[in-house]
Amino acid sequence: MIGIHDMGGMHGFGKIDTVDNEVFHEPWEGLTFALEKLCAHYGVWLTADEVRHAIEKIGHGTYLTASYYEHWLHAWEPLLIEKGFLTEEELRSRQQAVRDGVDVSVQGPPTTQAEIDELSKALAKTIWEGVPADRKIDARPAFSVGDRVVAVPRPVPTHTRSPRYIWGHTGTVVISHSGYILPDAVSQHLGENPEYLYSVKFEGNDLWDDQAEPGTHFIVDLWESYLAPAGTTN
Amino acid sequence: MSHDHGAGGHHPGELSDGEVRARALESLFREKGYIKGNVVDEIIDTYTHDIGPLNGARAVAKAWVDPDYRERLLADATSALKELGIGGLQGEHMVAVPNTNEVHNVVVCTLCSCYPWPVLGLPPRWYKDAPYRARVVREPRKVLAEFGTTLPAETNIQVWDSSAEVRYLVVPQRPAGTEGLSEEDLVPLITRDSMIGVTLPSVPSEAVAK
Repeated sequence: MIGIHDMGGMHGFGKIDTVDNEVFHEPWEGLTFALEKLCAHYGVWLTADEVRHAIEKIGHGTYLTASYYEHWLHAWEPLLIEKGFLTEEELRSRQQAVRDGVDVSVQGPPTTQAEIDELSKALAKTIWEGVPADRKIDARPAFSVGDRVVAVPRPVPTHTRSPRYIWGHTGTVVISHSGYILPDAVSQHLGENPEYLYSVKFEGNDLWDDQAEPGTHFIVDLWESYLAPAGTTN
Repeated sequence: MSHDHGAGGHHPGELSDGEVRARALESLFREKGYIKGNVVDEIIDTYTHDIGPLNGARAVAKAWVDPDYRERLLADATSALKELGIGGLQGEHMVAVPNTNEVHNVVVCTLCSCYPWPVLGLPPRWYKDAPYRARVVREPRKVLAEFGTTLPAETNIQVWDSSAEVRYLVVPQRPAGTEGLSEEDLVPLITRDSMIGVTLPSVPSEAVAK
């Protein structure tokens, strides 16, 4: 979707605060990070792209003013409610209780050590083994390293991973990866629909005209359907 | 950390929106039995103590001293990192990109904040914030200068925008004057920022003095 998240090349954001050596800046950030693993485990979302799309939909004002982990929380709440993990009422009244300084530490339902160990093991497995997104494709890739390709505009209202700053520009394939789950499809629950993925290199001059810095190149990972052959100019 | 840090001790109005939302969810997750035992603490512990930029630094130091390993790292970073026990969530598909005199590499994710967690730990705040994501794909030389890195005009800069599930590890050049250092001594020179590509590895003052 064309949203504030797609910020590559935008002007007006100012200087970078270049120093940061803390993993979590507040205890609730670590908690939020852990809750994310739990949400993924329980299937609040099924893929990274479903949650990425949920973040893209939190609203441009919130996106710009909320912190990174606040984005996550804003994005999950509708998903948690929609998928029946909790109700809007439960969530809002518990948030109000926290705001009012009420002690919200609660006792969970009885659980056995075996259940605790099982959950802990499942989360550790995800963390240490990961969730691969590559898939085998029988068809042959349409492009090879060295091919000139155009990034076709993708002005869809749904999730896509083609950033706007390269739309319509011509680049060169520098890596041909294997097949990968297509974010556009999987985020809309239309199946994995894997496609070949390519790293495509664009020249600064082509993207930024006379504003480009000399000797700068930009490489973007793009799925096959995001690209078209650039004709016979190669 | 999970169940004993409720809102107690804070005055209403002091809590950030994020803290309110996170504490409310934690409370509901515990009430409904989604949180069991110490799983929250275990995850936080893992990312605070076991997973961090030291992992990537170990791989880069090995690549600096062992040409065969360097070749394997550049050919198939996922497998080469796995040899050192490095891998997992957000590091399933790794590509290592070497800096040379001709080309300097920098990594960003303009669409969100994709980052190789098991190799470099969780990303610094600036990596996730708008100014870096917006600017490094337009004016990388200026951005690098803000990090204190000024490259010769003849060095090309390649910015990798990790818009898919592939994660990039920049392999910095071994600094001159470190020829006598062992693999173990090289590790501390390789900073997180140098493996994102915004800085160069630090040079130990003793090495320069020699």
